[in-house]
Amino acid sequence: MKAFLIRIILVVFLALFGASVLDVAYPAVPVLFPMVLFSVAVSLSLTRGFMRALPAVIAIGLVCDIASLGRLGLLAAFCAGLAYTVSFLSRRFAVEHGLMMHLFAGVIVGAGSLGFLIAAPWLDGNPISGRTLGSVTWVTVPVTFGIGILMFPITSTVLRRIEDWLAYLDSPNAF
Amino acid sequence: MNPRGFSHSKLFRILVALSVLFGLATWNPTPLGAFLRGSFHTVFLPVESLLSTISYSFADTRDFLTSVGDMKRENERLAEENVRLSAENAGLLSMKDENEILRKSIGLEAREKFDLLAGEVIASGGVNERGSVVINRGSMHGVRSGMPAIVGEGVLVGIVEETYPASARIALVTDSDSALGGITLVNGTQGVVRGDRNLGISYVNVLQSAPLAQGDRVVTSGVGGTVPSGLLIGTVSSVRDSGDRLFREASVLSPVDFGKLRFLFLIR
Repeated sequence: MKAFLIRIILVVFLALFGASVLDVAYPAVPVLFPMVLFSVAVSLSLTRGFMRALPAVIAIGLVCDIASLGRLGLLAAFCAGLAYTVSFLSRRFAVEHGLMMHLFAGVIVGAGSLGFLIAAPWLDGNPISGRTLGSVTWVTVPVTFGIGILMFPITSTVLRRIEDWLAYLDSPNAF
Repeated sequence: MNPRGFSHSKLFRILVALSVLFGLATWNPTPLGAFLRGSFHTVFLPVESLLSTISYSFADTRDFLTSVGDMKRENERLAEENVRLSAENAGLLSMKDENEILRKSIGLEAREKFDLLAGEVIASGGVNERGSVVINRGSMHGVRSGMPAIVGEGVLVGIVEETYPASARIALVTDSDSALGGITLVNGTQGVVRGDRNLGISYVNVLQSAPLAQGDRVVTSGVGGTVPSGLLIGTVSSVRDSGDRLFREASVLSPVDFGKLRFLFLIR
């Protein structure tokens, strides 16, 4: 129960951190918030397995949708899609551990973030031209992949530590 | 595959989840979204206020540190420009002496120095009116509408638009409504200097046959009589055809950073 409550607090904190810290301190890099969220979703899918992670991934996505003032369900849909994609591809390419897994997951996170940058303005009725693809330019592509590859190991390490701590809290030996 | 097995598969679950979530995103139920967002931001308002305050402080500090780096680069650029201008100035001083000798030889008086009145900017137009500033000199100091405002040795920054007893509003050359005669230094190409959406300066109504190139310096032509000739407006940064292709026009880059304008001089 204690671990469950802490999980809820952490999810809310993630949403608040994205909306009130990342979007405020880095208004020129709107992809940071979705990227952190997608890293969490991909990391959960890799550590727990897709089937176990899916409810949590959707819940986190929906809370972030509410906090970020975006369309309800869009971040959650991308989170679920990326969680499935990474689960599906990691087994087939046998990259479930180590450096290759981090690179692979970082690329998936980057690709998902680019997709989100294209989809979000498109759903709001902004036309997508061949020149700019929504808010994506040719400069955005390598930068987004680069940030994704750098961000995923950090996010997954933090998440693993939190999961270990929560597992300890859930164990009968705690306190 | 048996249907029961498929309904428990990953593919089935993700297809259902994506259908529901993308459907929700496309539908975008406004009342539900507004209710959820309103509740969330009401409950967590204190935390959001605290986090955003910290973020703004962080962003301010970061911008300050970034600008320190920019200042270093700007300083290096100005040092290089200073060397170049010093060399150019030496040549011009020699030409000035020669000019004065020639003027005397044909019986012309030396060019008069400007009678200047110093002023300090006490207010700027802000976001909606970036093309204007208010200075702490007004009609009681002898300020009149139409007086040119300059900085340095003669870089035009604007014209007095309105005067008050102790202050005056100056329409900067970037003001969308400003227009005055200009001429390029080397080729003598004439045109009209206009403010460009309160953000920059355009040099318009230049004849298609007249030479105009990037790097040309534009000065006031003195046409109209209120603004003396020879005040520097800026340097041509790009040239293009006008919308109707009858004329050519150019973007002009002023050496003055209008956002940091503080002291200026009015020509009486």
